[in-house]
Amino acid sequence: MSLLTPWGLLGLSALGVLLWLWRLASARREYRIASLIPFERLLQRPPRRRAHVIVNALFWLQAAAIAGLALALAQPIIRRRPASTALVIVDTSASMGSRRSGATAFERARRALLVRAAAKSPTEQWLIVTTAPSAAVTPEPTSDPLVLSKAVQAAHVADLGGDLAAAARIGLAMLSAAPDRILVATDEPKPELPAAPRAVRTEWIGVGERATNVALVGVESRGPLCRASEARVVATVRNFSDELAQVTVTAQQSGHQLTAVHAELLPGAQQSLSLALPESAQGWIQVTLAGAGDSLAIDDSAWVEPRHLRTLPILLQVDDPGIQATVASWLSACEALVVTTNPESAGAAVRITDRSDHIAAAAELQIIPPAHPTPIRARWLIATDHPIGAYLAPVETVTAPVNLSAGERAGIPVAWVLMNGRKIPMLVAHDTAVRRVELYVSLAEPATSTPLILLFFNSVRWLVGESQPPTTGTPVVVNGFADGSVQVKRPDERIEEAVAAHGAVSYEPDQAGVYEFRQGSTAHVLAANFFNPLESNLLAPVSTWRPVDPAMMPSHVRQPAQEPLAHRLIVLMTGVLLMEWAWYTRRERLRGHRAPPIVQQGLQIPVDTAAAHVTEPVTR
Amino acid sequence: MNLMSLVWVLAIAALGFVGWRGRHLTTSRGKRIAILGCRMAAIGALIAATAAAPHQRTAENARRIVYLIDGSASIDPAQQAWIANRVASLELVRPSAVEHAIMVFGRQAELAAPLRAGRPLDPRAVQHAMISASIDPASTNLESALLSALAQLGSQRGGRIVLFSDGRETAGNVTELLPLLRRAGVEIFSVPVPSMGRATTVWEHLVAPPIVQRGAAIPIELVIHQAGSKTRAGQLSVAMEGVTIKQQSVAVRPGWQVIALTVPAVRRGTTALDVRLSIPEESLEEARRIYTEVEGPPRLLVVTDQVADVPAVATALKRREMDVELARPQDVPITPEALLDYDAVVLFHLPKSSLSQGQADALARYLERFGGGLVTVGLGGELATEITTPAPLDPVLPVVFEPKGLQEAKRRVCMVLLIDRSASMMGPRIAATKRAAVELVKQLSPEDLVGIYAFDTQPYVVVEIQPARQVGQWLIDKLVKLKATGGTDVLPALTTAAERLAMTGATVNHIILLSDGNTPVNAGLYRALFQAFRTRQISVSTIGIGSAFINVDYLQWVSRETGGTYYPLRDLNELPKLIVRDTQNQLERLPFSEGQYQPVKSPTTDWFAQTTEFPRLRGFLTATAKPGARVDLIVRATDEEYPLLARWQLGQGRVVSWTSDSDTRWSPEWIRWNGFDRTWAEIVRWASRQRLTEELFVSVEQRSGKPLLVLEGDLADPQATIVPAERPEASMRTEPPGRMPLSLIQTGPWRWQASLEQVPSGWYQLLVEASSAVQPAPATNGQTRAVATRWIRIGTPPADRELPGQPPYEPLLRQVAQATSGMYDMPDQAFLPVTTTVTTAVPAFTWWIPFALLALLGDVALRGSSLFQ
Repeated sequence: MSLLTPWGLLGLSALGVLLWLWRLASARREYRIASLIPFERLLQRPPRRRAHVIVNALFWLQAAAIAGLALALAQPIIRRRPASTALVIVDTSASMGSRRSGATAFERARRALLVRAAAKSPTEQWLIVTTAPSAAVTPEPTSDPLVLSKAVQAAHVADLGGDLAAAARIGLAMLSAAPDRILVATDEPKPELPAAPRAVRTEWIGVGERATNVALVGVESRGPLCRASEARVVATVRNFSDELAQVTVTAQQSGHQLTAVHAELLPGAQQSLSLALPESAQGWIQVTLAGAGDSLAIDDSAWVEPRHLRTLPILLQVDDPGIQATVASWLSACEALVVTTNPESAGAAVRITDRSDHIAAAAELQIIPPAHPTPIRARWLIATDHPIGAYLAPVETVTAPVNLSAGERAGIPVAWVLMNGRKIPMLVAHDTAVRRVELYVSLAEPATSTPLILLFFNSVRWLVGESQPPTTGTPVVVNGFADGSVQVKRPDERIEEAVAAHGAVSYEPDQAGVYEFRQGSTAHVLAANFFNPLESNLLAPVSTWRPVDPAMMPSHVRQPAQEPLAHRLIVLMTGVLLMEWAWYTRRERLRGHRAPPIVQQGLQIPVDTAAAHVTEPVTR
Repeated sequence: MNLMSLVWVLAIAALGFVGWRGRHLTTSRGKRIAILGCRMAAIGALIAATAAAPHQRTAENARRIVYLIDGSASIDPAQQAWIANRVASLELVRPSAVEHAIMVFGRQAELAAPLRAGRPLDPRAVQHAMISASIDPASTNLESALLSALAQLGSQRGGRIVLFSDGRETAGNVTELLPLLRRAGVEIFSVPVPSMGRATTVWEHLVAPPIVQRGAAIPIELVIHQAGSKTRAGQLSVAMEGVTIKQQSVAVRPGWQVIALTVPAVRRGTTALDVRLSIPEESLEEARRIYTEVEGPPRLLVVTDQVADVPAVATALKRREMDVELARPQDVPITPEALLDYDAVVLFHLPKSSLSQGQADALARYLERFGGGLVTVGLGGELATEITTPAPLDPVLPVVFEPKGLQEAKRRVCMVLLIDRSASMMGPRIAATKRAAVELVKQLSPEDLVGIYAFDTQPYVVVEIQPARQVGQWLIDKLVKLKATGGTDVLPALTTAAERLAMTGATVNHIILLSDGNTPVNAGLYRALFQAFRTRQISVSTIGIGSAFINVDYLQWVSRETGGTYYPLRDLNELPKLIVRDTQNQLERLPFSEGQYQPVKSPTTDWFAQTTEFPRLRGFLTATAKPGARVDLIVRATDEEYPLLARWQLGQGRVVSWTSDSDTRWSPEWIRWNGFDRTWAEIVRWASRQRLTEELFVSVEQRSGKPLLVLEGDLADPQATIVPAERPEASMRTEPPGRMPLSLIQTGPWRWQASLEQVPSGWYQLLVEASSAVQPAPATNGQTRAVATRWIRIGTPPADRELPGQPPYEPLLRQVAQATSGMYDMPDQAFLPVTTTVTTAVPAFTWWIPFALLALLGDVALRGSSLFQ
C-alpha cells in the first residue's frame, strides 16, 4: 500500500486532541451520590491532579474514526493485478441526443451503463472512452464504482459526429494490455460481423430505435467565387423518413423573425430552400427548422452571416504593365470580382500587387517576378492537400517565367519548381492574422498555362476566405487579437480562456451556436454549425464500428492497477461514527431513565462545583 | 436507482438517524443542539466527501516534458548518437524545475526514464535508455507513441512532448490522433533527425492520375531526391496483379528529378500498380502501390441463342463505340456481382424460359441494387409457349406479353409440295397431283411462299420456293412434263425441302408429301431428320398415293413424328380436297392479321426528337405496358395500340423492352435504316448504368490539421462511401465490414466536404453516388443514382518497411507541431515558460475530512463528562 498524499496523516494529530478532550472530561467527571455526609472528610481534602485518562469504548471508536479519516486524507492506494479489464465505449455523438418516448438515447445508455457498473465484478477495471470527442473519460482504468459512476454521469452528448472504431483505437492504445471485453453503448445498429479468431468479446448495449427526423444539412449565403450573386440564404433540408414531411424554415435575428419558407419534402428527399432577407438584415442570422416527425433538436438550427454585396472588390496595385494586363484580363472573366486601383475603395477583399509594401489589414497576393522573365519549362510539385492546390495534379509540367533567385521563402510552400535538381518554392502561403500569398512567377506574358491560372484563382479564393461558418469539431483561427489571453463566451454562456499567438486565436468549437471572442475592446463573433447527415439519419443509421484489428491490441503484460481506498475508508468511518453515536445516545437514554439526584431535605449544603466532583480515580 | 442516488438516500437516512437518536441526549437544550449539530456536520461532511465532485484547482506547476525518441529500425546508430547528444544539450538548458521523462518507441512505446526534475541527463544516459528499451523496432508507430506519452503526462494540461523522429511512420496514423492531442492541451515540438547513413536517395512521391480512359496510357511519375553528387543507376519496374508489365533502367541524378513512365490501361475498373525502385549502389529497394480507375465506353453483355451469328443490334452498338460481349443463356451468371463488369445486359431473341430462377434473381438484384441496365429485344423460342407461360424474368419486364399471339404479316407461310415421281405415279395420279398443286397455290396469299419438288431417289426442283403470286400457268406446264422414273427414296427429298424451308425464315413451314411410302428407311437418319424438323418447326403431312401397296405405317410415322397429318386417299379425285384441307389446317395454326406495321411515337414521349418517321415492321409481339412503365413507340393493329418500346425504372436500374425483333425476320427495313445505330445506341445508353465521371473533382485537403474530403461537381444529393484498399473488390459488391459512409455537407453550390478525421491512413476507394444533373434522364418512377469511383490516399505516404538513412519527412513533423500549437525544430522553446497553469482535480474529501474531524472533536468536547455516564 502506498499513500498519494502522505501529508494527510497530519490528521492523526486530531488523536492528540481527542486524548486531551477525554482527559479533560475525565478530570471533570461527576458522580452522583445520595449524601455528601459520609464523604464530608473527602470534600475537605484538596483535589488531586488527575494523571490518567479514563477511556471507554466510545473513545476507541472515536479514535478509530479519526485514524481512519486521517488515513483517507492520505489517499492510500493498493496495487494489485486486476481480475479483468473492460474497455467501455460510450457513444456521445449528436444522434444520442434524439428523444423518443421520453428519455434520450444517451440517458438510456447512461442508465444501462450505471446498472452494469454496479453489477460488475469488484475487481474488474473499466476504462471509459467517449466517441465525440474521442477521449478517455477516466484517465486510467479503475474499478472504483463511485469514480465510474461519476464519470458516466459527467459524460454528455456533444454536438459532434462520433466514430466507435476510432474511440476503440484510442482506448486500446491507452490500455497496457488487451482488455477482456469491450462494452459499447450506442444507438448505432449492431453490425453483423464474422467471428474472428482472437477477437475480444464485444458486448453491445443498443439504445437506438428507428425514428423519423428532419434536419438542416447545409446553409450557405454566398455563391461561387466568380459568379455575382444576390444576397440570399439557402438552407438545405432533408427528410429522413418514409413519409411526406411538412417543414418550415425560419430566419430570425435577435428573436425577431425575418422570413419563413414552407415546404413539403418527399420521403428521403433533400431540398434547398431560398430565404429572401431584407436589406437591413446585418450580422448573424439564425436559421431554424420546424417539422413534424423531428426527433433530433441539434440539427434544427444553424447560423449564417449573409453577404449583401453582389461582388467582391479586388484592389490591383501592380506596377508592371504586363502583369497588370494579364491579371486584369483574368479577373474580368469573373463577374463577381470587381477590380479597382483605388486604394481608398472600401472593403477590398484582396490586394494583388507586385510591390514590396504591405497593407496590414488586407489579404494580399504578392507577385514576385524574376528579373528576366524567360519562360522555363519545368515540373512543378503541388501540395494538393492545401486549398490553393485544388484541381491540380501533384506533378504538373508548366512553362512559365519562374523566379529562381536564391533567398529564403518563409511560409507554407504550396508549389515548387524543380529546376536543375533544385526544388524551389514558387508559391508560398502565409496563414497568419492576415493571409498572404507570394507567387514567384511573372504574369507579364499572356499565360496559357492552366496550372498557373488555377493557382492564381485558387490563391484569390483562399485569400477571400471561407464563406461558410465552421462546423463543430473543425478548428478555426480568429485573427485580430494581440498576443495574450482572450475570453471566449460559448453558446452555453460559459466563459473560457484562450491564448492568442501571432495575432490569432486557434479554437475548436465543440458546441453549435454563437461564440464571442473578446480581448479588451476587441471582439469577434463567430458561429459554428452542426451539419452531419449521418448523425441526423435516425431512420437508417450507419455503423461506425469496425472489428478491432488484433494487431492493434496492446501486448504488454497487464500492469498492477492502483486501487484507491479513500472512499471506502470514508464510508467505513462514517459507519464507525454512526455506531459511536448510537452507543453514546443509548447510554444517554439509559442515563435518563435513572432516579434524579437526591436532595437532602432541610440540609443546606453548599455545593462547590469542584467539591462535587469525586477526585479519586474510579476504576471499573 | 444508480449509485449516486443510493448515496443520497443513505445520507438522508444517516442524518435522520443521528437526529432521531439525538433526542435521547440528557444535556441542556443548547448543548444538545450543539452536540447534535456537530455530529450531523461531521456525518454530512463525510457524505459530501464521498459524493461531491472533485474540485478543479488551477495552479502554476512546473512543466512536464517527455522526450519521445524514435527507436525504430530506420534510426541508425549514428542517428541515435545524434539524438542522445541533442537531448543532452537540451538538458543543459532545461530549467531544473521542469520535470522530464524519456520514452522510446518503435511499434510500441516504453518509458525509459520516469518523470523527474533535477539533474540533467548526459548523452550516455540517454543512449543507454534508448538501447535498453525493449521495443519492437520493426515499425514506426507515432500514433501509439504519442498516446503513451500522453498517458505519462497525465490529465494535466500544458504537457509538452519533444519528438525526435524521422517522421517516416510505417504503422498507425498520427494525423488521426492530432485532434485528440490538441483537445488534451498537449503541445508537440518535433525535431527532425537528420540522415547520416549511406542512403542518399529518397523517393518522395508516386503520382498517377485518378482516372484514365481504357486504351490510353497511364502516366506514372516518381519524384526523387538524390542528395549525393554522382548519378546513380537504378531499376524501375511496374507490376499489375503480380505480373511485371514494364521495366526500365533509370539514371538518378543528383538533386530533385521526376522520372516518368507509362503503362497501358488495358482493363476497365480499378488498376493497382506496384512500382518498385531499386538502386543497388545504395542498397535501396522500395516498393509502393498506387491505384487508378480505368474507365471506358459502356460495356454490354448481349445474351443470345445464336452466338455465332452476331445480331444486327450488337453490330450497331459496336459501331457506336460500345464494348459488346456475346454470351449464351446458360452463361448468364447467377450472382449479381458477376454482372457488375457490365453497364447493361441485352437479351436478344431470348426465350424467357431459358433463364433460370437464379439467373433472373441475379438480374433483378443487378438492376435494383447496383443500378444496372436491361434491354430485351423480342422473344425467342416457341412464341406461343413463351407468351403464355410465366417465367422468372417476367417481374422485371415493363410489359406483359399477352396471349393474343404475335402480330405478323401473313407473308411468313411456306408450303412445299413433295411429289413422288416414281413409276407408281404415272397416269391419272399425275393429273390429280397437278390439280392438287393448283389448289394449293390458290389457298395461299400472294405473299406466301410455295415450292414444289419432285423426287425419286433424289430431289428435283419443279418450282423453287417463291411467292405464290409468282406461280402461274407455267406451273401446270412443268407438272405436265413430270416424268415417272424408277425407285423412291424420300429421305433426300425431305432433307432438301427442309433446307429450302430453313432459308425462308417463314413462321409456318409445312411439307405435303405425296408418295406411296415405299422407300428405304434408315431409322437413325430419319430420327435425326425428325429432330431437325422439330427444331425448325417443320411439319410434314403425308398423303398416300402411287402404287396399290401404300406403306401406311411409314407415312403415318413421318406425319406423326413431325406434327403433321396422314391422309388416306381413297379416290384420286379427293387429292385436291385433301391438299386444301391440309393447307387450311396449317394456315389456321396461329392468328394472323394482315399488313405491315408502322411504328409511331407515343404522345407522351420525349425521345427520338430528331426522328419524324420510323421504318415499318413486319411483326411484333402483342403486349401491354405495366403500370408505371413509359411507352415511347407504339404500333397500331386491329384498332388497338400496342407498345413497341416500353421502359421503366426498377430500383436503381432501368429496363427497356422492344417487342419486335430488330432482325431480318420482322425488321429488315429497320436494319437498313440509317437511324438504326443511333436509335439503338440511345436506347441502350439510357438503360446503361450511369456514370458521372466527367465533371467530378475529388481532393483531400488539410484544414488546421484536420483532413477533409472535398467534392466538386454538378451533383444532386451526393452520397459518398470509402472502402479500404485491402478489399477493393468489396467496393460495391458486399456490405460492411469495409465500407465507411462519409457525412457530406454542402458548403457551396457545387461543393461538398466530409471530415476524414476518424479514418485511418491508407488508400481508399471512394464511391460517389448522386443524381447527376449532367446527364438529363427522363423522369420515370424514381431517380437513378449514378456512381463514380476515385482512389484517394489519406494520411502520410505509406512506407512498406523501415528504411535506414532516409532524411526526415518534414511535412508530417511540421504538421504534428502545427496541429498541436508546438514548434518545428525548436525544442528548446518547449521549456519556456518554466511553469504552466495546471488544472488538477482535487478530491472533495481534501476539505471535507478536516471539517469532519473538527466537527467530531467539537462533538466530543461538548459532550464533556457525559462520555463516562
